[in-house]
Amino acid sequence: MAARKITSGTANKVKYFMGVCQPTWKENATKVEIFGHEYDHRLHMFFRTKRSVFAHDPEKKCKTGDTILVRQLPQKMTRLITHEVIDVIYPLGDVTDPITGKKVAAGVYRDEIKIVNEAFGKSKTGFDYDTAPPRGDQEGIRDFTDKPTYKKYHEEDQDPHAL
Amino acid sequence: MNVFRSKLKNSANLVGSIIQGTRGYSTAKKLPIEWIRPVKIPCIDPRKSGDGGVDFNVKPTDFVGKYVYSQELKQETDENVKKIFTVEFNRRKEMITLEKQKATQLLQRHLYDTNSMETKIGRITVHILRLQEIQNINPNDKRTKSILKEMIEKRKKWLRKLRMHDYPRFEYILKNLNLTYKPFSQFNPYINRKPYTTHMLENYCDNMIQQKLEEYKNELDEQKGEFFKDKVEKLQFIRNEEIACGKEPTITEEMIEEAQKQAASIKK
Repeated sequence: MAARKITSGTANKVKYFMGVCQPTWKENATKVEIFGHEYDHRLHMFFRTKRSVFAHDPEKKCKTGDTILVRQLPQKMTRLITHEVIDVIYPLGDVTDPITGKKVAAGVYRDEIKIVNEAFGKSKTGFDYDTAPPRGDQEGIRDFTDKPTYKKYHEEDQDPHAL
Repeated sequence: MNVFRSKLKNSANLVGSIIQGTRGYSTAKKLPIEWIRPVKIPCIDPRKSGDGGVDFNVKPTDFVGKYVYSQELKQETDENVKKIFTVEFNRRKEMITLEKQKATQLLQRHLYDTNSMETKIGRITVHILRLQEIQNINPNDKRTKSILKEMIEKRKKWLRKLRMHDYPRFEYILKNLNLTYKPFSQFNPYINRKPYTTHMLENYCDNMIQQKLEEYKNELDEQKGEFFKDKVEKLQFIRNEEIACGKEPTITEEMIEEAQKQAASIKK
């Protein structure tokens, strides 16, 4: 594909990027996938591009799958870490409707679910949004999405991330 | 750190060259690590599917199906009549339906909820757990194997989508049904002896470096207490000598206090 990068104009001045957080083994940094578009001058079309960077995050603000805002550092922190996490914009699995500002659960408002449950008789053991713990309750116990999984290469490997 | 690393890496390369030179498995046995090929686990196995097992507390004396709600049976005095409608004297399928009922009762939002994602996943896990038992008894049963595989994949798809839409509910299901969720790995490499023995040796060397560094660190930490004691005494001696000779003291009292504090902190 004979594609030419757009280097003029505001493209060089951009320092803030939005990306999706990926699982990593690093402790003080997160892997971020930044999506963009590249213009092909022969076909007069935009094609989707993807690049991954490492962003410094000592406080561990973000978790895998979150859409976050990152800023390019003026100087490289290490060989890999070139960006810095500023804020989490869309946390995964915790959707809010931008128009009404209400919380949503897969196409239905959470308030509506609550009304229906109370009308038909709420069960004691059923799921409740008010009493549910925040994300990360089962992390490392039953939910192994925090770190990347890999193919098992040794019989005595006891790591739960090995498939 | 880098000096240590380079020295030990060289040793690892030496070991690698030995393997390359002889190409025999007998040389590999002399290494500190022995590579064992991982046994392939089938996709329907609970270790792979992530089923930990749930106890729904179904007893053999429990009534089956609609007879759970029958009041006439409860008033019945003859035990032989009662036995006909229990789990023990009925088909296995009846027991599974009873377990499914209990699963829906555990996970449902309200009393008439049977179609939410929690209840669906609850029922499918009961089915999977029971089919896995059958598969263990009859491992050559291809029909149940294909059904099981399809069910496990369907459940994984549901969990994947639920995780994106509603994370707290996803974690609630994992906790209550004792499931583990592992996403697919990004790479699927072919596993060989040679590259992975070198990989394991590298890890072994790195761990050895870390261990030696920690030991050296502990040694230095133990010497710190005596060092600061000496420091305090020497600083005081220098200060007194300078004052006695009639010169302006280069060492202030604050410096001595700092050294005393450091000595006190290490003692604790």
